[in-house]
Amino acid sequence: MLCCYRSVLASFALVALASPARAVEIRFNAFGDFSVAMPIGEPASKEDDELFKAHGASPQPVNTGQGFQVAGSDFVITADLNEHLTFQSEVNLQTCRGCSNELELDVERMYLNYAIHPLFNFQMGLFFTPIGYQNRNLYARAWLMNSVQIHDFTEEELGLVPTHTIGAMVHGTLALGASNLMYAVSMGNGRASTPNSSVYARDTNPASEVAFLLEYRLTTLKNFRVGLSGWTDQAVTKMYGPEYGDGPIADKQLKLRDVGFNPYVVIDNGSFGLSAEAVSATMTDKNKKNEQLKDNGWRNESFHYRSYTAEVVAHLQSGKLHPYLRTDRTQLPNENGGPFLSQRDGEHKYVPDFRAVMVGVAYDVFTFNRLKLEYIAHQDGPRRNTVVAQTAYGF
Amino acid sequence: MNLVFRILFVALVVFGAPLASAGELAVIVNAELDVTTLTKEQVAAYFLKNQASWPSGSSVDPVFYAEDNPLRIAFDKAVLSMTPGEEDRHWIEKGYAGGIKPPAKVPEEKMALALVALKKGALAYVSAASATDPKVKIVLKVSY
Repeated sequence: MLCCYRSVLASFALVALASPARAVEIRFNAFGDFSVAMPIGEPASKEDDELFKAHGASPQPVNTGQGFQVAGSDFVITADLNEHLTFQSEVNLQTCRGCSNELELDVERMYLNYAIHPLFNFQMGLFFTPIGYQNRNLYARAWLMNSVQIHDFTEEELGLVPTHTIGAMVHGTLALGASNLMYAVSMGNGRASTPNSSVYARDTNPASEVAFLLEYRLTTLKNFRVGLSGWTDQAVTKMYGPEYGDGPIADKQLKLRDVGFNPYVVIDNGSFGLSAEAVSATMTDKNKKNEQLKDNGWRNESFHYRSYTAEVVAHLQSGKLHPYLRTDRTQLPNENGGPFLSQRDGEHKYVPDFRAVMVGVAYDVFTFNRLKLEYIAHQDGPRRNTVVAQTAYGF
Repeated sequence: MNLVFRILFVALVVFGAPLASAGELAVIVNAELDVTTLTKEQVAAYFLKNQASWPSGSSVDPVFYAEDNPLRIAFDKAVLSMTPGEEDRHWIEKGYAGGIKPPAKVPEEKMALALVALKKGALAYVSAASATDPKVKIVLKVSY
């Protein structure tokens, strides 16, 4: 999500200039992290390692750590324009992973929210899609997470879940005594032509993305949520061959309809917490009657992928110390990742699956600082087991 | 030796209770709000904006104090089961997730009382002895 510097700066300036004269209340927050990682031993699968060296999408697979790392910083501005209207913008200054001296300016969110009634609110702009728990609440915010590992389904570079959208959303909460029911429905631009890009304006994809979320919260516990969310979208992309290294087949366009579901549960009573979240989605050739995929060497017309995460955590020493155990697994579609999610840099690349167990401890040394020490044991793929230390901040 | 134990026992009975309970907080709302009593859990849910609207549908507007204010330290521990630092973290998290505003911060309980008397959706806590304004009503008392 590489962005346009001018529009970001202009919006920041507008908000800043408006504040003194109109008494707009502005809040500024930021978060980020610094890590050091030490891989140990051999890759979990030598075969996958060889494959990655030959056809990998970047110098190292996503979610690989080695040496000291500055991930970047997110800067959040929230302006309460009046009692009902809020502007929020989140800009991420992030380092290019595996590159040298390259920083990207990435707009994560930029939207206006009209708080009309607890049951009905309206939001427009660029925002997190109402999909899942991690995507809306944690989203790689190391300071709020226990584990160092970013969930695959919130990893923009993978594009498994449409984590952001440019569009409009209605959302609301129904109070039910000691609990409440929250809903959200959004509609926005359809998927971009490649998995790791976004369309901010002048959307040429004729389809829209629609996402929904229904969440039940029990308010008497520190955190208790059960939710079901999902989406439907369409990718209009180039037709690539099914083998690694294949490029686009001239003038051939492919339309893939994707439908996904994302259930989750989060339970935390302040002493002990458990969370689990899963993504299950399928991309289907929209014009399968034409057999265009089969005509171009693919065996299937439908491509299923899934990802899950589960974590247990204890809160010790007055809630400052958090030992945790987490497991994640991501399976990309058959046929070398399928015709869309494996597209990188104009080629059909190898994007590895992910299967690992993370064990570690997070310690809140100060209110605005969390230290972590984690061991990541990979069960499969080209990555190596890794020890990671991280200091994460948020304020 | 028996005498020493007896003296210690009497001392504990006489002075122990006041030592265990140093004071009392009153959770207050506007007198016109259609809420009469709240449990600790309900106050925590409203205060932390996990429940953001009153049963009537109007929004909840909590009021709090600086981190080192003794009232806040006592309220956070007794009602929210948090430290003020954890509460600050909660508000930052809420702000990230949806732009939700933290409570209005006031320097002293007189201002909290005045705000609650003025605003129908406001929710605050003061020392129980101070909650005498007829424009506010007590919905929960908490010993600390």
